[in-house]
Amino acid sequence: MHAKKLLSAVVALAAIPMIAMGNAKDELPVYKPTSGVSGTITSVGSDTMNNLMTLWGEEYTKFYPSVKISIEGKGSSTAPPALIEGQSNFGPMSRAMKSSELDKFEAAFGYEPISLRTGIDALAVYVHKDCPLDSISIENLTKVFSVAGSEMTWGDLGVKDPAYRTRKVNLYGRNSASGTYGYFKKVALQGNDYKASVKEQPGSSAVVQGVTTDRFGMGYSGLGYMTAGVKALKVSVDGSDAYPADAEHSLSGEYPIARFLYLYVNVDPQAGVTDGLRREFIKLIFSKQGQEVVAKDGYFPVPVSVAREDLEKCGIDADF
Amino acid sequence: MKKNESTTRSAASRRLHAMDTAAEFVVTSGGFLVLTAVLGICFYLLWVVLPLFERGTLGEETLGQTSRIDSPEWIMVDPYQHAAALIDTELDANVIMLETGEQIASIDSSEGFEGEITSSSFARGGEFVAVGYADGSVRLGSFDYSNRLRTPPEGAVVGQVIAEDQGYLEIIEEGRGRVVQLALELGDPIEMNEGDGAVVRLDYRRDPTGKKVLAVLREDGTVLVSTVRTIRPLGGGAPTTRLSTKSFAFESPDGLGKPDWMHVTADSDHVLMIWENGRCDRYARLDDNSFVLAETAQVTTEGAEISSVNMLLGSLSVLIGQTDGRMGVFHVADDVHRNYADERMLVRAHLIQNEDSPIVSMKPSTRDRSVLILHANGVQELRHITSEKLVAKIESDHADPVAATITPKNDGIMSISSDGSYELHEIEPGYPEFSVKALFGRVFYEGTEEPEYIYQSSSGDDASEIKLSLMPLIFGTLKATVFAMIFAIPIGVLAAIYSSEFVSKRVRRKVKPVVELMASLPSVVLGFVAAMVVAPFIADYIDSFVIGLVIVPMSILLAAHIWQLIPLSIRLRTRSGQHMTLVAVSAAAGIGISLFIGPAMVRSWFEPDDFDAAVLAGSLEPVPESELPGWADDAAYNTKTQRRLRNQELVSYDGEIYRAIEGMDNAEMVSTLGLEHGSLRRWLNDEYGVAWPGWLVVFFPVACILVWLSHAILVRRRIDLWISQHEAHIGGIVVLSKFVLLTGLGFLLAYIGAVTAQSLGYDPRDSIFGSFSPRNTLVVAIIMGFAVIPIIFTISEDALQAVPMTLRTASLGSGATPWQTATRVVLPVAASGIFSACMIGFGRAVGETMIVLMATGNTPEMNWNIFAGFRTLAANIAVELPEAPKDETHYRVLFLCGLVLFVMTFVINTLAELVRRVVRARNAGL
Repeated sequence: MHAKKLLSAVVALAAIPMIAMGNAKDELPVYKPTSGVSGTITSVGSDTMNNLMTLWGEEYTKFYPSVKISIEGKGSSTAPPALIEGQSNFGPMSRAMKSSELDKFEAAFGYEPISLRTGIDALAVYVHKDCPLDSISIENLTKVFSVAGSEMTWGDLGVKDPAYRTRKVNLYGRNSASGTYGYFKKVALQGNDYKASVKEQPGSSAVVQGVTTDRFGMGYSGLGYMTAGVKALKVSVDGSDAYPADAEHSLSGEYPIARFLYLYVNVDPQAGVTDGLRREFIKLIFSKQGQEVVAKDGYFPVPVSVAREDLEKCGIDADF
Repeated sequence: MKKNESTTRSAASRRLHAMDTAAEFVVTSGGFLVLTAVLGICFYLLWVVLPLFERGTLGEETLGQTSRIDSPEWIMVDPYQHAAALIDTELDANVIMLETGEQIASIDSSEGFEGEITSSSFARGGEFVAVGYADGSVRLGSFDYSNRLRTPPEGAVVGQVIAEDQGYLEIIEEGRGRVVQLALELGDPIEMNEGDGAVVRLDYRRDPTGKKVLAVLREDGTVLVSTVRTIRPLGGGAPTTRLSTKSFAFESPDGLGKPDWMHVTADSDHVLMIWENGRCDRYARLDDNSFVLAETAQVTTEGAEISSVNMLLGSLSVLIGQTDGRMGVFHVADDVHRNYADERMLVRAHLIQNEDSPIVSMKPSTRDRSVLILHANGVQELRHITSEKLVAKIESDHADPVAATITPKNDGIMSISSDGSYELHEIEPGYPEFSVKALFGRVFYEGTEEPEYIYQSSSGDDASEIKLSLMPLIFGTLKATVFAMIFAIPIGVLAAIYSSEFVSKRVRRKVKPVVELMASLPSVVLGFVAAMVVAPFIADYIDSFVIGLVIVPMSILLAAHIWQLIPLSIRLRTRSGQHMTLVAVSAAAGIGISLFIGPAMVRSWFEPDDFDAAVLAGSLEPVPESELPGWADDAAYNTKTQRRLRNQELVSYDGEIYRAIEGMDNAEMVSTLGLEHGSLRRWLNDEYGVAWPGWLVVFFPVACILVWLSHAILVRRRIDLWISQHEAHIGGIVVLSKFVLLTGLGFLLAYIGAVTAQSLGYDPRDSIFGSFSPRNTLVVAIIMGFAVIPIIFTISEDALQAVPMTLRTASLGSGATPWQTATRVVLPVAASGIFSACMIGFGRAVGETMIVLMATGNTPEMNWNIFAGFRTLAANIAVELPEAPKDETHYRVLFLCGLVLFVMTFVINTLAELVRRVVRARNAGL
């Protein structure tokens, strides 16, 4: 009975993103190339989005074989200086620009850069597939993972099962250089520091691997890395209902650990994007093909309303 | 003929002389260049690092006078520093142009809304404001400077600032102007559904996750704490707001009346009521979501009263400004002694003093953890709280200052006096997070109960505290090096002695290049091997591996003793180097034995006992107070007491002490969970078990060495003498039984030591053992040891070979065995060379980057646990430099890491050189 419920939950979890993705993509137009586009797309920024940029770049060169693509992914912090110095025309960042970075940009151009919300990255809190726990609140996540709480047992999280009640929660997380680490710290740990006992894993899949082999383990990682050996907990905020990590609840904001993947562009707000090279690239990102790439890379595509809004920010007609 | 000869000779000598001079020139200039390069790097590092030590710099100053004084409580300067809003306690704002002092706009907070304002709150530079009314309702909102670009009118000059309706227009370039306007948005009044009477105190702020907190104190003493969470759907659409309110009754202490200040922490768990006399009542939220008066504290220092209160950015620390000019910074931390109802307590993290004049106001920056302190004598101090650095100090001669602020971009300070005169100083804060104390001392960070060394440079947002203590990194560097050297020095040096003194020239000529070939492996390859091969291997075979560390050397020693039993006639027929086969065979046998026996040994030693089974199955009951040992009061937070409790089959959870319920069959429960068998990893993770097996593993090698040494001092001479009088095979048997006996004695001694340590409450899991992490120090020690061994081996071997042959022949001729010659004659002479070999190895290990980077989790921890990770200075630079924004504090601190590393290796190498010289001078006579 228990196992059955679990199984159906897993099935449901797997199914929802599919439906949601299908909806969003269908409404976006298929990208159609125009003529007269040439030059070099240079991108300097986030390593998380390196793959995504590369995939978009590949897609772009399919339409415009003469365009050269150069993508550098050394970290989100490298994006603003490159944009300011004019070394790149796109700055992918897995976090929003900090106020000091915005200041420097504004000092150089007199206006702030435009941020395009190109995809949604939802983080999941994973436990072993046999773990009796189904949901967790942000407050408890803070206590479990951060120094704001003492060492937590499964009993502290409300698990009644005697096998779990007195056992410590073994923690798995990402290495501190990753954007995931910083984002989880900000939202799930409410800004507190990680406990030193969080085992830092080198990659997202290593976290899932760690939890798969540890019955008392708990870890966070991108939702795209889920396997059959783990389950993703529902997450609640302020004692309200807990919502599962899926596209629907990430988009509605009810699932709290989801963020946008940003692409920063230097656009004069009075003029808009004037060159064909960047305009077509942005149009490609917010097209059916562009958002399929997002889904392929393990993230959720953005809804049509966001795509329309961001295109308008750049002064591009959203004809859908 | 003779003449001819002399000319050729002089020509030859001239040629030689020229070549000499040229060579000398090349060598000198080469050396000089190397020196310049090294010094140049050092100076470059210093050049990048030095600005960190400077204070912020003050720039241009704007002075002015305005007639619109209406006793402003708060000031809001616009981001471009042309206008300032002077805001009073009713949130009515007058906007003035800073250049002229003329008023350009005014905002009435009660516009379109009737009601007597009785209280207000202003946080985060105006982003969060609230007003409370006499009827008990509250309006929430924000002040905001909006800006947009617009084409300016004809004839406007670039740089011109034109006052406009509700704001101004600044011409930023030809044909482009920026309009800046201030607006106040206040929402509809929220009726408080509990309590009665006017809103007396009000506090409205925000935590880093975007959750807003509102605390309201009403006339009748009801306090309402609401958390407001606005959810903005990522998919667009209208934001939804969730409000959850909890109320409690505030009881006024005798004769004090309503608090002079009330603040709520951003986590909404604590409401602080503060009176001028320094009393602070902390109402705390308990687990059942109710509030109680948890703590009453005196937050001032002796003889001072409170003149101003505010909260730091992030709204978790409260700033207490005193009449004597000191400022206390308090936060709520864990109360390990459990004195207070919610097991939390107020602690004073910082006490800052500079001026003796009373503090008029303290305004937190909205960008970092700096605070602008305004003293009654007109002095303004800009302090960074974490580092306690005085970023800037302005001495103003204006009398009676009433308000001050830091500009939103952290680039200016403005203050105003009661007579309407104001001043605005441009400021470049520099590197406020940096101070020598913040880097090398223990620092009181927000939320901790005592000062600590923490390194956490990446921050979620502006409000989070950057922790830059270099101590965990220096510690990590030393930890990696020490463990690597424990592994590398014995192997490297012993191998060098063996190769130099015991093998034939033919073998040596092959061995040395092969070992040197090891050094040619790039460290990134070694790091790769460590992370991908060694770490998983150790994680899978940890039991066998740990046992093998003891068994393999033992089996080699045992084989050597058995070798003695073989008749001399056979032994003499083997050639030098052939007994290496024996060593290899015995080592392989040792590895085999450990692989098979290891898990079994671990199971028998590290097996959960009956009490562990009860704990694992959860069949526990609380121990009555009367039966508790007297020393167990501190069981909640003292690990040593917890360990001692465990020895008595008691366990402490959440401050409560439990024992096993008797007569329960836990075995079945435990076995359904699959936990019945012991596992070293689970033992290390402190899931069950007692201390002695761990101590046994640690003490055994030490005890064996001790036993062997004392035997060598006390009885060996007599035994050797006895053996020499008997036949070889009898001698062999005696030596073998001596070995077995000494090993047994060592084991016994280790066991006694282990049991004693356990009974005293010491557990190896609190020091050199602990939670197992797959990327751990052991892996690094092995692989880095592997990288260092060739260096130590080659240099040591050269040093040994440099010992004059005459010494060896003299020693051997006097009847000494090759072993005696090696250890007592050759080794002391070569000691200086071997020492510098070790030191050069040490220097290499300190600076090694790729191996530690790839083979550890790079966790900046500070413990000696060999199964935990660490972060070294070098790895830290490699990990973080790409993410550090150029020329900012973090970037320069990474250069400082480089400088520290440079100094460390420099000191080590210099020491090595000095010691080598001393020893060489001593041996000069040889």
